[in-house]
Amino acid sequence: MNTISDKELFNLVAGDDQRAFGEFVERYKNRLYNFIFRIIPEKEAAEDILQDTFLRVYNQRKNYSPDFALSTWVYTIALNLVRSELRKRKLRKYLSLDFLKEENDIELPDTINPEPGRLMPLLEKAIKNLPEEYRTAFVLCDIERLPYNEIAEIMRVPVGTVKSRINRARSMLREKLLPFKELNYELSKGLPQALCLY
Amino acid sequence: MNCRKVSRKLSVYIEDDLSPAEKLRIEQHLKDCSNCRRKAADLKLIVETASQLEHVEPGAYFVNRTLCAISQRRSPREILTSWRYRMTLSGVAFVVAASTTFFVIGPSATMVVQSPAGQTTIQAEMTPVIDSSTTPEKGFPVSDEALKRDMALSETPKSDSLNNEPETLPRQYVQPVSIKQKAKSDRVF
Repeated sequence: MNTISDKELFNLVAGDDQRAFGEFVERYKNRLYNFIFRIIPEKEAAEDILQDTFLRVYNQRKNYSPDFALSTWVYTIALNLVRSELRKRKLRKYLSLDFLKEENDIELPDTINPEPGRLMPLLEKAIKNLPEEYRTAFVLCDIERLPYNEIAEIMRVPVGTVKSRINRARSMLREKLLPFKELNYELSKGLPQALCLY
Repeated sequence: MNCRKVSRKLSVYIEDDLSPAEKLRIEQHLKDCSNCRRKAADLKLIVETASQLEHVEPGAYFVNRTLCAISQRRSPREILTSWRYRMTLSGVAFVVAASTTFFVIGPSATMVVQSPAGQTTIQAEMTPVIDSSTTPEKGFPVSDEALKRDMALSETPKSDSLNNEPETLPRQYVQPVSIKQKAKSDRVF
């Protein structure tokens, strides 16, 4: 079963093969969880959304159209659930008047350490602070490494919009990380020679 | 090409997803503009770092938990067509119909009571009886009879003797006053 393609595997799932569905969950759980966790960075909430995604995939298994890529379909379901959760949270936040509090932005570290690895936690925090549509586009493109056309199908926007959102997301991240550069934490210092443009 | 236009294309440029002509124009601008050059380097570093971010994974028992949840839950179509669902639905419909009938028509039943002698049976129709004498009409807080009674009480002239009670006054309004008390009150006023 490990050697068959995703579509062949899903044909077995559509034929009510429980073992095939177990294999399908194994194949998709990590990348989907990583995607959901980057948008909603809470382990339990992300796992719940991931489980709901698989339950929805299983319930809709007979409605899947092979014209679409399987991964696109699964990511779309996950994104819909993520957005629904974010809407609920927004409403809850509004009702509890938490929106009056200012959101914590990235905190400056006590000591400025110009190690390249130091950028990772700062970048993770900066990603969390991006608006949802930019965060989703950035995560799908730069973390999940999906092509533009697939991201456009998942987000249901034109490819041009995806490109501009990704560009905007990267620029916003740069703006958020610039203060560290100002404090002698130069982004390009940690860059390996091969990656330097000039 | 100005900085603004280059800035829009930089993201695609670092992914090498531009036409050769556009790529050349951007590279020419980057040679002359240190700001855009720095920005391109920073964006490239951000993309590289993002791709190296640690991939998080769900808990160890996630697959088992999901498969258990799937075996316990059924699709909405399966639920709708199941025998148990139909039985539950018809039960709920019956209860709703019965309660609607009860509230619209009202409780009406025939009660059969056997006399102590055990020979005769009495049948009684149990329908709600609305007593018009006790129920005040709409707009009047009290019934006519009670109103008349109160008016009669207020219009009755004060009499000196206790035996001179007005005939219209019901018994419950008469306060029993002893002769000694009466004499005392006469002295005060």
